[in-house]
Amino acid sequence: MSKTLRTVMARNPDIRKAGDICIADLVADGGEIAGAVGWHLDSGAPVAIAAKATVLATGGLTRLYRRNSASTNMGGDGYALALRAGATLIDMEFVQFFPIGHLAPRLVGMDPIMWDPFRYKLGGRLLNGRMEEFTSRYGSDEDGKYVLTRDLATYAIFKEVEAGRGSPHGGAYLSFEHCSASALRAAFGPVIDRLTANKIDLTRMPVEVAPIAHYHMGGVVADARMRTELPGLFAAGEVVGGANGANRLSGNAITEALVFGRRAGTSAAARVKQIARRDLPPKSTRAALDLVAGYGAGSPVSGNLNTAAMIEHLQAIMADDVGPFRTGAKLKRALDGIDELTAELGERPPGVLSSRANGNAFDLQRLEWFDLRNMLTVARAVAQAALSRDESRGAHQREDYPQALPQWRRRQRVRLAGDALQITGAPSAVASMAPS
Amino acid sequence: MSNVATLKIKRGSDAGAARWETFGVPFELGQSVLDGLRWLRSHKDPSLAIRFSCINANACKECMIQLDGETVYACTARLEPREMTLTPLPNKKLVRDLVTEIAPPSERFK
Repeated sequence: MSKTLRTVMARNPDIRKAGDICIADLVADGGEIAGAVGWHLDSGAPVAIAAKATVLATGGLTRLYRRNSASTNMGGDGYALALRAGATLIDMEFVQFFPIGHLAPRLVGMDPIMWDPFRYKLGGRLLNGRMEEFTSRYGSDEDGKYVLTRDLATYAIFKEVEAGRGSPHGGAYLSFEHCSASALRAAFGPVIDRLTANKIDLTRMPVEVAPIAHYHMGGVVADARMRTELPGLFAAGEVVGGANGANRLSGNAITEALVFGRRAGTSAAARVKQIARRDLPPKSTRAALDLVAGYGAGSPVSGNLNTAAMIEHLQAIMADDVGPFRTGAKLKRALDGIDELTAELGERPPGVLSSRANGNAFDLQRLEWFDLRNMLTVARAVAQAALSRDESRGAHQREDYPQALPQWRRRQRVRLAGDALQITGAPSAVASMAPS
Repeated sequence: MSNVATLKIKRGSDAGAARWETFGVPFELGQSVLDGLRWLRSHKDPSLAIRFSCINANACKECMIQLDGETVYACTARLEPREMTLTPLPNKKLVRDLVTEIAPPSERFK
């Protein structure tokens, strides 16, 4: 699909592509989005782009979790950009986990969600650390028919690990040892050779699997034409919130990417035709550029900030306390941890842009500082919305409130009020404010 | 089983003034060179530059570097308990450390 898209784009001389640009902030002008500010990663040069229409297509937030099926750019950037520009997010508490993501032994060169079709085809058996079948304890037998729903499998694996019956790396075993080598070859085809290169022989050993963050149902509020509440700002794909309710059916994400993408493009093109000229407002553009360059009023941070370790710390907080099974105590602990990391991050990136040629070429610490700025805001939105929803529904399961409640047949919205996140929509109709 | 790979890395943003740095990286058998480089960044030196995106799936093709003079993807090359020499691609413009300019010309920012 991406090849087709690239080919079509290459044929159109009116499309100009500019890679390796990191967007730090959208620029608003009187409530409309006028463009964006960022920097060129390869050179470090600040960049300001005026735009009659801007489409968010940043994907979801699964990088917030320790184990995920995402690439490194899925840290919720689009949600944070939209929030800071004044847009509303919806359904942020609903994060979908894929139950049997690959865990161990280390498997390189393959997608961690690869096991699903093979479990389906061959009846791969889920076993706990004692090599016992366990899903029947949670209401579904391992009868080879693969009727266990994704959410129930995730629950069963979590509970076995919690009870001390997990596999060595903290998941469950997936075993195809009951299948013959020829049956495995027939189902897996050349994948068997890639497994062999990873020293995995499925006729003699199980693999370890565990739930991994896979998709986010929440996101930016947009209408059926993919217009956000901010004129000039459109959204497409996983960054859009609200289309999947509290959980997503398998197969809908790709459909969403295609349909929303086309609609957002059509709407953005229509707007561009209506607007004669769009300039960036000087004052807010300057402020955004100052942050990119490391200037400004905010408190400076130490140049020794280990941004890579901070991201791992945040991923641990989210996996341990804002995973698929939540409690009020865990969510509050997560919010405290997010506060500490936010204070550590400070208000502007470490150092200022160097005047030396290539002084900031591919500065990953700078990139990770801006990534963390977004990730922490979005992590807070998920945890606060999850804390506010004191019931269980879809992908949001509260162990302290296990029932779905009729008064909660409603959606929560998240907005930024000053520096605090404001969540509205709870049945008591009392808005909860973030701790400062 | 615990092992240590010794990564000898060519660093800098000026091809004419590169410096060599050597790090010990613990690993489990089966882990990739990219796993080692990511461990290095979060435990020893976050300033190390390496381009990567998909981490694992051999899909994005961004982590191309040279290992002992051979071009590899860091995400599929395996760590081994020996000295491994990592250098940027020699036929591409150097950006910093192990990062080179690999995007097709039509997709670059100018």
